[in-house]
Amino acid sequence: MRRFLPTILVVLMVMIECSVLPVLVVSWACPMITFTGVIVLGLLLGRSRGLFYGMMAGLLIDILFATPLGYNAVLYLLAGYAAGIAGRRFQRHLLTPVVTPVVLLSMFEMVSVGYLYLAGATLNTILLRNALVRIAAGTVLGQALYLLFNLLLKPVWSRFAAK
Amino acid sequence: MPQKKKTKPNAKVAKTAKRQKSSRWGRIAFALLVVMTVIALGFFLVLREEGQQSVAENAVGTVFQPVENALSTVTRGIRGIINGARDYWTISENYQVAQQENMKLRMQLEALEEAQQENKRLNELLDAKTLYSSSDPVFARVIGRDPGVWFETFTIDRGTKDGVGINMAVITGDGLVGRILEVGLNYSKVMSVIDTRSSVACLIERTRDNGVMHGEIASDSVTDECNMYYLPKINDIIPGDVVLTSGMDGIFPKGLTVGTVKAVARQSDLSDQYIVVAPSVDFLHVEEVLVLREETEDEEGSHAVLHTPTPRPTAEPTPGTGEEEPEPTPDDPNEQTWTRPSAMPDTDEIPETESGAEPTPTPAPSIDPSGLKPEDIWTT
Repeated sequence: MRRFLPTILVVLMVMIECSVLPVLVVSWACPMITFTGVIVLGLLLGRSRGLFYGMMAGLLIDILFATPLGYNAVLYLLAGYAAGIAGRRFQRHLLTPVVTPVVLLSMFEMVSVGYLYLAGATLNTILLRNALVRIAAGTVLGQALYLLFNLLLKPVWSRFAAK
Repeated sequence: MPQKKKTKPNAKVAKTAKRQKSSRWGRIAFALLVVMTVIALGFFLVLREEGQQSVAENAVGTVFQPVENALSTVTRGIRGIINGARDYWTISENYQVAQQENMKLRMQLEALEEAQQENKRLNELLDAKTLYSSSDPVFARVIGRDPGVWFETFTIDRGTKDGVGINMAVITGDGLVGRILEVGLNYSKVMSVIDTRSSVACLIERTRDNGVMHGEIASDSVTDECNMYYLPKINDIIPGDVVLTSGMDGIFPKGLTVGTVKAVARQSDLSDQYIVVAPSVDFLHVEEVLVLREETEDEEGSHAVLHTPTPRPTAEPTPGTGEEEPEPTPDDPNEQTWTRPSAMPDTDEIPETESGAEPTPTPAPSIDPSGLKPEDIWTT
C-alpha cells in the first residue's frame, strides 16, 4: 500500500487543486499545491521518483485541464528531478526544505511569465508582487507537506530517520 | 458488695425526690403562665382603643418585626437564587434549541439563496439558448480549471459524444466565454477570452470599428481585463461602449456581447494604441455554460467545425454585344459607390472643391441590385 501512496497523493493533489480549490478559493495568492507536493516528493524520495511523480502530475494536469500538452509535464518533471538532487545532496542541511521550494517556485514563475511574454502578453510590475506572495505561500505549504509526507511515506532516506 | 446494696435504695429515693421537686416547679410555672395569659388578654381586649393597637400588641409587634424582616429577606434571597438557577437552566436549554434552529434556518436560507442564484443563472442560460437556438446550443458544466493564474482554461463535461468540436463558441447568459480548445470523448477544454493566448475579432457597437481583443495576465483576482488593438479610430471610442464579436475570425458568431470599454490608452505611436475591455462575463464564477454547436458537412461527409464565411459573389456582369464600350471603372470618389458610413465625418474623404463652393455630401449607400446587403459582400 505504501508503494502506491505517492501516486494516490499526486492524484489527490491534482484533483483538489483543479476541481475543489477553484470553487472554494478565488485568489491570485493561492499556492500551487501540486507543484509544491511534487517538490516535496522529490526531496523525500529522490530524483528518479521525483522525476516520475512530477511527470505524472504534470501530464495529468495537461491532459485534463491545461494546454499545451507537455508544458506542465516538462516543468513538473524537471522540478521533481531537481528537488530529488537537492534532497540527496543537501539532505542534512537545515534549510534544504525551505530553499528548494523557493528556488523551484521562482523558476516556475519566471518560465511561465517568459512563455506568456513570448506569446504576446503584456507584463506589469504588479505581477512581481503577486509572484513573490505565491512563492512565500508555496514555501510555507511546502514545510507542512514535507512533515506530512514524511509521516505518511516514511522514506528510507529521511532527515528524520534514526541513524 | 454490701456497700452496693446500700446505694441502690438511696438512689431510688433521690430520684423520686427529684422528680417530685420538678413536678412542683412545673405546676408553679404553669400557674404563672395562666395568670400572665389572663393579664395579657386583659391588656389586649380591655385596654384596646378602636382602630389602634394596644400597648401590649405594639410592644410584641415591635420586638418581633426585625426578626420577621430578617427571616423574610433571607427567604426571598433563597427563593431568588432557586428561581434564578431554574430559569438559567430553562433559558440555557431554550437557547440551545434556538441556536440549533437558527443554524438550520441559516443553512436552509443559504441553500435557498444558492438555488436562487442557480435559478437565475440557468434562466439566463435558457434565454441565451433560446436566442441562439439556431446554433444548436448544449448545456455544460465547468468541472475543473487550469491551476495557476497564467492560463485561463477550464474543462467542461461535454465532449465528442455530445457533438462538441474544436473552435466551437462557448457562451453564458452574460456574453462570450471562450472557445473549445481541445475535445475528448466526454470532456472538453475551453480557452476563455481572457487568456493571453486568445484573440477575438471584435467591434465597437456604437462606432462599428473593428479590432482584435487579446487577454491579459490576471494581476488580481477581482478584475479580468482584455486589451483591444488595431482600432482605426481610437478617438471615437469612449468608456462604456459595448464590445461585440464581429464574426470576422470565423469562430465566434457575430453579435455576441464580449464586454464594455473600460479605458482608452492613447499612445504617441498609433500602432500601440489600444482600449481596455472589461469582460461582461464573471470568469471567477463561471459554473454553467452553453456550447454553440454549429457544424457543417462537406461533400465527403466529414464534419467540419464552424464554417468560415465565404465571400458571396457580386452580380456577374452581363456580357456586352461588343459594340458598346464598357463603362470605365469609377475612380472619382464623387461617383455613386457604396462606402462604409462612419460616425464622424472624415475630412480626408471630402473631396476638394473650388473655393466658395459647398462640399458635396457623402453619397448615400446604394444597395446591390442582386439583393445582397453590403455587409454580406466580403471584399478584399
